Amino acid sequence: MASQLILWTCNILEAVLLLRAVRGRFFAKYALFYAYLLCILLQSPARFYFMLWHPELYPSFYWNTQFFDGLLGCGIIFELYRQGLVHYPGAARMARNILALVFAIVISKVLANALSGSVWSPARTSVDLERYLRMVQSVFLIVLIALFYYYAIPLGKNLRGMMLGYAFFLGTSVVNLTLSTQLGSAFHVWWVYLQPLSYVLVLAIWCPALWAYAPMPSPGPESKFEYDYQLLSTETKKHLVQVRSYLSKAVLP
Amino acid sequence: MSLPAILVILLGSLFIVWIAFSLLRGRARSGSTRNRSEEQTTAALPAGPCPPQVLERIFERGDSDFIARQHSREAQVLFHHERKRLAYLWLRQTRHEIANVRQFHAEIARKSKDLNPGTEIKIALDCLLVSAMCWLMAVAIYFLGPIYIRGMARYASDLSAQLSGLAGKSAGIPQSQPADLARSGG
Repeated sequence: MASQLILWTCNILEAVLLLRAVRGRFFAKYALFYAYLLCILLQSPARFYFMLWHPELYPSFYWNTQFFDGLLGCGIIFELYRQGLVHYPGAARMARNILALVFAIVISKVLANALSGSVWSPARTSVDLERYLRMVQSVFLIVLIALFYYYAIPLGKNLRGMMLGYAFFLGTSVVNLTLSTQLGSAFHVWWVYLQPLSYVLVLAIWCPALWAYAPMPSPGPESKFEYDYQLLSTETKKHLVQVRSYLSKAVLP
Repeated sequence: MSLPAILVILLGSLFIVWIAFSLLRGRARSGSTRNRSEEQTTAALPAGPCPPQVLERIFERGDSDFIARQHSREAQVLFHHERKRLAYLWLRQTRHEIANVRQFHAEIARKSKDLNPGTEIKIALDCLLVSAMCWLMAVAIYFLGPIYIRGMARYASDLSAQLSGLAGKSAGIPQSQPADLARSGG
């Protein structure tokens, strides 16, 4: 009963978020994010149908849709990258490079597993597969958050809330999925409540953040100076090396 | 999966949430200063280093020897306590100056179309190393006291001058020609 209540609360909050976006005409601004929400909302009746009328098919349907949701979740990370770095070509280039590197490492790991003769993927179950997907997404999100922080990129209220909510969701998902893998059916009793409850909290973060459209803060007035990046980076690098050398001598005289 | 692996995942998950929260807190605290223009950033660069004479007095042994000759335990404790505070203050200022220089660089780099990822990573690592060294010095000062770290006075003084040069050069990096003049060929 309680789990049903939580599920319907999720549906209502998702519907409210979508309605606000349509009424406020900012659905298209965050198309990938709202596509994710819409898919999850539409899945609910389908899951409900399988649970009531085809309970034997429900577990496989549930895990397949969960994995599909995970793939759609990549869209939220792409949305954060696209919207957050739109005014900052330098930071966007940096993000592309680091994310490509992370992606290459993940692919290498999968290929190494395959070549070592074991399996293509270390995932043995749907739970494993989703957990690995969420973990990769977490790394991508950490990279993006670190870049936003390092380059002092101001985010609007919408994007900030979107990021915080999804970070919370990924964090709780990885924890829940890991516990589910480790504890098996013993954890299932808790899983029924914990997973939807954490999603309610995510929606509670998203609702006020995306209640109305808040444009990205402008990157500030155009400078009246032309800055030479190459010269600046050479100077910064050179002096940091010197400062480091002085400090080394002071610490280890 | 082993217990350490589970712990790593749990810590990783907590890390994501912590980063997101600290980001939010940072934004709320700094407000519009995060979105300041280059001119404002330049103005926020360190005004000047701590004078070398002051630094030398903080770290040198002369005062310590003088206090030791007074045979007053209370005066010695007070003196060491005061010098430690001054040394920490200097370290904090150093870290602040490094952070300002890094921020100045980042605010220019983020808009630059010809940003070099390799250079950026190297600069970030250098900043991280310098900050780590400042923390290491703070630990050394805590356990040994500033005046017992031989050579610190000389290097602290050099470092201060170095930071001053860095701040000055960063502020002077603009090619000193307004963009509109450059575009109009003026």
